[in-house]
Amino acid sequence: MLFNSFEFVLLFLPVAFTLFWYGGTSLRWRLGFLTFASYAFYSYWQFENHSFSYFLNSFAIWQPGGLKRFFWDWRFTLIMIASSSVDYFAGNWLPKLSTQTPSGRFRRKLLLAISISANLGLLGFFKYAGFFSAMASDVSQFMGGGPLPIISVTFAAGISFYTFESMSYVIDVYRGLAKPTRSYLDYACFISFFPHLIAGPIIRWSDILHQFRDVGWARRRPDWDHVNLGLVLFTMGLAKKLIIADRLAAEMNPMWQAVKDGQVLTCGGSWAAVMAYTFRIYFDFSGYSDMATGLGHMFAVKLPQNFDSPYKATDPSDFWRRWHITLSTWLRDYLYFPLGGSRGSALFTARNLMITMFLGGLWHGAAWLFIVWGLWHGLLLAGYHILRAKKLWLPNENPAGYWFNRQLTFLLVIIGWVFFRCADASNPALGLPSIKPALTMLGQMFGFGTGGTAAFHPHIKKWFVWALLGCWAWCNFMPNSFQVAYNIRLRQWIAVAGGAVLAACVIHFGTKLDFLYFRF
Amino acid sequence: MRDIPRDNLASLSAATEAETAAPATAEIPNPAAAHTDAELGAHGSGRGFTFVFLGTFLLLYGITLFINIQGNFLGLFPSTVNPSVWDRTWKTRRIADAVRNDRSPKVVVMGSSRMMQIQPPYLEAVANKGPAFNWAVSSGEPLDWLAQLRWALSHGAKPDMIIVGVDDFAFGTMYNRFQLQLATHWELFNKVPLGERLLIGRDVLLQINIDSTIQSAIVLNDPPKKRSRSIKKTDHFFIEDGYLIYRDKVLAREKGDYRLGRRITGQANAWLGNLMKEPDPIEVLSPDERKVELFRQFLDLARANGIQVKVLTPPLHPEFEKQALKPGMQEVRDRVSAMLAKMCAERQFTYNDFRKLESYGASTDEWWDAFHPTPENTRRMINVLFGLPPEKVVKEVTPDRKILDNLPKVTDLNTW
Repeated sequence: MLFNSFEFVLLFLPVAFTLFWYGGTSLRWRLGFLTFASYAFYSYWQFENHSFSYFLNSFAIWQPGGLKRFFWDWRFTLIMIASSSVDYFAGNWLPKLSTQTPSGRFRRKLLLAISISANLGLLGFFKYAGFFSAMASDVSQFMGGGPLPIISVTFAAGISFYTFESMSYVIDVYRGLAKPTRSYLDYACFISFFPHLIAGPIIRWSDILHQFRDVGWARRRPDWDHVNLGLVLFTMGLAKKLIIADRLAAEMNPMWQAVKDGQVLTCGGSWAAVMAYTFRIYFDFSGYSDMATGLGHMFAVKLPQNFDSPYKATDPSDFWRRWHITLSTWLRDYLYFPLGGSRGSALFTARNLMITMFLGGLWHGAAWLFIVWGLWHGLLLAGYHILRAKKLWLPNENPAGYWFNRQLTFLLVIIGWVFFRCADASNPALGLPSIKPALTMLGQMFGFGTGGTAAFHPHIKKWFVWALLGCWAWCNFMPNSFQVAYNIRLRQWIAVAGGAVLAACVIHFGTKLDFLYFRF
Repeated sequence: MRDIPRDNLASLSAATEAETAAPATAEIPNPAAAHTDAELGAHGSGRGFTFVFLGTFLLLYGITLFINIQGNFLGLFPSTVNPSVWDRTWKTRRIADAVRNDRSPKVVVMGSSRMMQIQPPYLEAVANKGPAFNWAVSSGEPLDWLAQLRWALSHGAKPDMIIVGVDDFAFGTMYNRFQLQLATHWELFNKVPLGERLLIGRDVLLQINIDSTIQSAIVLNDPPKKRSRSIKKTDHFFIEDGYLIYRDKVLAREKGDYRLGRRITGQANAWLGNLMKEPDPIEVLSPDERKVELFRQFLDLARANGIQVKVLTPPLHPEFEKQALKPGMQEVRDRVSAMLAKMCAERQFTYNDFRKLESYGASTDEWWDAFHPTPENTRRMINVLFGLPPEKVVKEVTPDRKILDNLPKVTDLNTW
């Protein structure tokens, strides 16, 4: 179910909110209902049709073929439950194994390995089976053999996110950083909590446990300050997605398609297409994160911030402190640090950064260009690390240096987005040839291969250019949604304005496009 | 604007202090604790803010809905100010008129546009049961027929006989945008099963946008006094008994301009082109359980009310079959035909498979295009349905060309 849909805004959310706050006051009710609602939210997309009778019939396991049908209709939900169950039991078993004896330590490591393998195995199958089978087929053909069959697996929404959360739980328990929970309900709710289930933020067990245990969470009445904050954040996120991101997409998609089809854009046209995507992905993804956080607040659960004005970053490292914060901290804590972090030579650090970002790129999707994008950022981070160590990066204290750093970082990030945009995870057989449109676009951006002297693509509308300039100014000078929502005094006029914006967004539901990060 | 505290966010390359201290045991800070309840509570917004927020949203969205429904620029709403004239709603209104005038139809034709050229006067003469009405609707499928029958039974329009043409792929799952028309007649819409009603309602609401709201407001500002559409601007229209007149095709045929072969090829390419966009075209054409269940409910409802039902599978032009239908698709058609035969036999209804033109003596010329037979073609179908020789002419019916010259009093050009 999408956040920007009638069934969510007008049906699911009001019903879930009302039943959560007024259906019962015990902690068990709150957790149980939230888990049930989250599973229903998640399961919605996998039904062949969304009629009530189809939903009821899916439970009719006593009918001939009923059990098979049940497993098929609920397949992705069952996979999620299975994945989280493995980690729940692993997390509970770990503290029972001794850390004092060699056999105990071995068994702890084995249990951790089993848990991580199960999660990565699931992720690998649902996300990367097609990619690796296409790669195997390419290699086979290169070696003179015939093509191999390419596996096609339906992508399980949210799997990249909930497997990472599950793994972080077990790893934190293993490291002694978190106490495991005996309550399966606690754990199921943590994994399935619907605001963050499909596209993040990636939360940790320590983010959520104390909130579930907060006596106030089982209060009789809703916390209206939280609810209002949630409404404001949700509306801001929805507006960013529908009014900005989707409008940019409608204008820029034909330009990208033209490059993919081998047509030539002008230099200005290329820049317009790339800048549009730069802002589109930011407003789309940060909009979704705002909505997720806003929804969390409506249920008095505070989710972590995921974006902090990333295009204001003054260096590549700063960019990753601001972009998809929960993913970058996850990669830092569970990949970069265990690899050794920066505890070594510059080359050692560069290696760790490249590996971390290589896997970070691969996490985004099963396509070569996501890997190229990840490696590009690894290169930027490694390069920045070296330049900073040699004091070759301009200091931010100098205003000229500060602005230069910001725009240079912005430019470097934009270049990375070209690879990201051209990645096509839906066609694993495309392979490395998919890099051609990316290189073509980059070349055209810098004046190579445009074949013309016109400053702009003839079909670019004037308003579009102004819109892009406006987006640049917004990203550089305006506060972000969190800064607005958490600092502003929520007066009545804001309630009126917010309600009006929400109405405008709901009217726009007919022109919806998918959230970009749903594909990850 | 004060920043959200970022001291709990470490960088990917600069966390040397934390690493050298004891990275494996360092407490991972809780970003969610950045704001305490006291800080949030300091906003002091309270329940009043929530009610104003949601109240504004509901009010503005409600106004938008009202403008769109009543102004009805999209033609998808049951407006009393600017009524829709789509076939589902227009034809249902005609039956309601007939009931008011004590001429409730006793024989009703249902189905898709492939049944729209069955002439009610001819059917009346053959069936000899009383007034006939052609209630076939564009892309008609089981959901339509069930809603139509439920409406008829609850509005004093119970027929004695229903002739329903079931398209080969009527049970498939390709999205049918024509079903949004069901929302244009409020009473008919309420006869649609709840689940489907919610989905159609949602899809209708999704058509609303800023532009439709502005245009609907303009209509509301100066609402139309009557239905008035020039015949010169239309290529087809309905007359009072639900019969369809293809004005452009009739005139083209008269001029000798009619290129049947070219039309069929164009339609075959378009149909296949659309179908091949689906990941599994055969699956999309195959019977869906829910639609089969709806058809079952339709048949059972007819039987429970003593209504005789004649089910038929209308033909496609053989040239279209040759160009467009792949082997898997023929199997789907055969499966559907067998299923219909079984369902009819179980209820003592009749079933006729008219997929082969020889089965009712039609020719390859009696077609407007790949899907739509001419009145001459459908006359043969009706004859065979009632056990008559195909070539028999029970009654001479006014030809379409004459109707064009003498337009009836009630058509969808001049009546809502």
